[in-house]
Amino acid sequence: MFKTVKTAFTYLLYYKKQTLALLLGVVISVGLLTGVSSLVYSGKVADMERCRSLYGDAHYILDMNEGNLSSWKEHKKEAGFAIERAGIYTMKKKIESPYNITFAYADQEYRDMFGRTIVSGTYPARPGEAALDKKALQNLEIDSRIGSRFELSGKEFTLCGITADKWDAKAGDIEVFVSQDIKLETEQPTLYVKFDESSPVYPQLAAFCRYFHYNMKETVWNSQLTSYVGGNRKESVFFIIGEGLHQPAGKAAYIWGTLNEVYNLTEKLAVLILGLFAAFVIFSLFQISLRKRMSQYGIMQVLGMDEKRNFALLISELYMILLAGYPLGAVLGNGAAGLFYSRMGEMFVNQDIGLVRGGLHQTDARELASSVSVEAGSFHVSWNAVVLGAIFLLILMLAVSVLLVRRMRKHTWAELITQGGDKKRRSRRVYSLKKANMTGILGRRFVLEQKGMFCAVIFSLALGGILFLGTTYVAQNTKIHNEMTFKADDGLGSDMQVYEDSHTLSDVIPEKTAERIKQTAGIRSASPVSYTLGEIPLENGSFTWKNFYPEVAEDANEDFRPDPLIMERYNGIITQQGDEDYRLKVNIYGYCDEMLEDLSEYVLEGSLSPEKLKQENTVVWQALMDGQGYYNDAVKVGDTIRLKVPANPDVPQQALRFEGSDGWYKEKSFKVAAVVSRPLGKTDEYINLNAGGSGITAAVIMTNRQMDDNFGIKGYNSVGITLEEGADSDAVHQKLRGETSGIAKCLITDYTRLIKKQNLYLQQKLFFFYGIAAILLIISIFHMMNSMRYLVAARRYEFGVLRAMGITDAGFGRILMRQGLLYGLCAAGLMLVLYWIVQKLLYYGLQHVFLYLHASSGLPPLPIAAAALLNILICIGTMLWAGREVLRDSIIQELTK
Amino acid sequence: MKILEVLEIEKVYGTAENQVHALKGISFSVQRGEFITIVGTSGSGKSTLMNLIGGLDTPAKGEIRIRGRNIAALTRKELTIFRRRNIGFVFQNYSLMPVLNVYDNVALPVTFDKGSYVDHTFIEGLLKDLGLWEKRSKYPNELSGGQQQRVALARALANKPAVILADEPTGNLDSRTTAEVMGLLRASVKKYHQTILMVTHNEQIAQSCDRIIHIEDGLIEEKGGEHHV
Repeated sequence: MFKTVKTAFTYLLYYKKQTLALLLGVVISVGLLTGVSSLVYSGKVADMERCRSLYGDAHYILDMNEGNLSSWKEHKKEAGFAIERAGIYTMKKKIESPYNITFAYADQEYRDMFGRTIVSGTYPARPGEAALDKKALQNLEIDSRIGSRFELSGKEFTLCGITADKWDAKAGDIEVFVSQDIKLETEQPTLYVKFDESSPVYPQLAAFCRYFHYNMKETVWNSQLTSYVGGNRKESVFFIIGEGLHQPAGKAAYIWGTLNEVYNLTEKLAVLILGLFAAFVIFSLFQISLRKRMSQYGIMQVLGMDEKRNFALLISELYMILLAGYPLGAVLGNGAAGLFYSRMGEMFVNQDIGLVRGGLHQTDARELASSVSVEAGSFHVSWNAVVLGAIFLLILMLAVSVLLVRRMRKHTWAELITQGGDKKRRSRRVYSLKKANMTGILGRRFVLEQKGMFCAVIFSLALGGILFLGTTYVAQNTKIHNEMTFKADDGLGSDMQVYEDSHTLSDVIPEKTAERIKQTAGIRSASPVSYTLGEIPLENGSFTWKNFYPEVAEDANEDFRPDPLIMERYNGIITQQGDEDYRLKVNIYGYCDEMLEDLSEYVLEGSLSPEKLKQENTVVWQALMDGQGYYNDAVKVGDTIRLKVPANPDVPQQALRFEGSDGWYKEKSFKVAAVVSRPLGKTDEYINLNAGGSGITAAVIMTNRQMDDNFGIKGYNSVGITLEEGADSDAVHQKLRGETSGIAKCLITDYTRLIKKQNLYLQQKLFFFYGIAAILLIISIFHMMNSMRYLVAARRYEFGVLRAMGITDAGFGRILMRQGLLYGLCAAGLMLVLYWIVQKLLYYGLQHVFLYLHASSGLPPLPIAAAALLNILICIGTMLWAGREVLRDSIIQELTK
Repeated sequence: MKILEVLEIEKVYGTAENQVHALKGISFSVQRGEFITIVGTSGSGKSTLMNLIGGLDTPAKGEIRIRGRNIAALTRKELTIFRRRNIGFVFQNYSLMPVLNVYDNVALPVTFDKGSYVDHTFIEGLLKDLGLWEKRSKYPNELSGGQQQRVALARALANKPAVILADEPTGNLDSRTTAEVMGLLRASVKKYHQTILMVTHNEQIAQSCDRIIHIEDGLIEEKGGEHHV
């Protein structure tokens, strides 16, 4: 064995250039693989910590009135579970006016776990004391000095402390913390449990529930956090695939989307692709190295070396290179990744964390404006990736050695020694009869002579190009999607929004206030949106999507049931009237002309003109869209829809259930002028995808004037604001607060920082992906250079003969150039074909998995042409570079080598 | 008619104490249609002489005139073009392009001259004369050593050069094939009025040529030979 290793080492030393090439290949590939994995892992750790800080450092929430939880303190550690920390939160009262407010007692541990620590004063100790956060004090217009007195829900309190702000002012109710012994309406204590995270927490919960005889189904999960610590039950891959196959539409999208969500497939796939690329490069480089000394192995086999020894020799060489290259690659890769992460780590952090409430996705990202800060945290080396990568390469190299030995077996020893054994079928065509220039033929023949290497070279080059084009394609669509999403969520991509945090129609921003807002210094434009809730009949079997709504779905079950809040307030999003007749709740929006102009970007069918809408009193229908981006065609352009709306904003709240007396409502029919994919300005306070989570909502859009003329709606639900260039958003915020101070439940959100942040992240992501594409391109070029050097070196004698026969340097250059051109054209062709397939997959994914707005189906020709041209130039360049060595030597040197 | 003149050629390799005088002022001339063999022991300078005549190397001193032109005075590009039009090479190991078939291998040097007319009738004649016509679409690795050397000879003749330089063309062949190739060389000299300078170790082969140039220690020692057609 020692002798084999020694021989292998001697070979490595003798073939220095090839050894270095292989070593470099291993270092770069390993660096890329482990570096990217660590970046992704660091992002995950940051995500987890962010979830912890936003959603609280607890895994599960349990009702203390259930089971035997009263004795939990004495049993923190039992068989199967260990509680690291636990806090108690007791809800004492809930009111809905002037805002949704919860009065609660929270113990010290809870406050620490949920970042609700006292920042000033003390926690209430006596019944008349209360503590609130700054935003709550602002919204309730309470003097923020400690000791100030205020009245809430008919009870007088003294402000004894100020707590740290909630991560999202709109997440849940305004909280008023009170003392433990205060008697209000109710006493509902809940236990917030954090298990020991060194082992998966889901089995601990199961053990905990068994121990305390607690019904596990009654537990509430902090699913944002538990997903990082083994706290969620994982459905099996087969189960997900089976479920996907039963979907009525978008089977592949469902399967991919769910697998991705449960198993983080995107990241794993990215790492796998990098791993395969590394494997491919290493294999290709080693194969080239081996070809050079195939004859020597042949001689050694003739002298008596058996296959086992040959295999041992190969594997020793590879493992020695891996031994030197892997740690170096891992150190360099992680070093570079660490540096990169310290500068631009935020891009690896999930930006959507914080935009999800109660497990339901909150599409209007901008609400969280400045309250959510995204921090990358510190860099973490992914030891999993380092170890798994090493195991992967060890196995790969074993496989490479087996493959090469098997390949040698196919040749006779004589063929090995002479490097012959060419049994390929060749064209018998005589080219010189038709062609006056044989250099092209010669070049082509030289290239295609070694098809395996040819394929390896063009594949590695094409891969870099595909990554570049794929990144450009996704980036371009992401940019468009981001811009459109901002508009879609907030109207006109506004920087600030004034809105009613209310689900009462009479709570509106008066027209005069909206006018004053428009006149406010620093504001370029203000777009008011009026609102009412309505209902439309979908009759005679025209509606086929009933199974998307648990209210009427045939397969509704315990896991698929309507949102109780939506049921209570609105009697569900949809109701069934007859066998095939339904009534669907719809949001009805009134927009200003500018917003309607902007809405035309989202038109799916028909045409949109504000003037025409007003003249013909027609409306715009926002189509229902399912979770995979498919639109429902129950309502089409030219259809007439009958809208039923509350007769006036002052109707009782039950009127929103649309089952009261006829006097509460008015009905009117409208012709549909256009169908759009989604609204611009909208409200999430009534029915919406997020509020219910159980259904899909549609909207009817018209002008503000039509809202007034048809339904007498005068005030606005929200006003989207665009600031002037360079305007001080804080100053504008202050002025807006002054303008809206007397309006009930009127809040202001500043999105400027979030918009800036989003754009910065997009830039950083682009930078990262282009960086990866560039590294792959460098590896490809390096691989190409090595292959070309080998190819040219292998033909050295033949080139010498050609030169002796009188080919000029320019002529020789032309042969090489033709070879390079052929490589380049084939690489570009392969890139285009593969990219075409990849782009189709990406397009499908963007449209139906990530639900991108207006995803374009292709890239403009310029980047494609640029990538193709780059491939060609690289091939020609590397070929000429490799040929330089031949021209540097004299013909005699070439002939005698 | 003198087709080749070698005048006071000197070639030195290395410097200072490592300096080796490979050729020490060699002069001779070759008439058109002559079949000359150059013999000598290993390291005597015969291959160096062939390389200098073929324009593959440059002399330290002296002149080499082919068809009256001093090739040492030509630029790299001029020399390349001159070589392809005036000198044909036959190497010991055949040096055929493995990726081209017999016909294309033979036609290859002609196609190097841009716009030059490929005389297919001439090539066909050559291949037929050398017994290769039936093998024209075969690849080099499908031929025997003798056949490959015949292809190499056909390639050298295809451009109708002034001189064919053959460096041990029979070195890799058995005696029967050697006799066959030598016969073809002599026949070609006659039929195509070619001039051949051939390096060989084989005294017997040398004796069959028009003239023998014997080189020893970089100096020339010329002998007359016998004709064996």
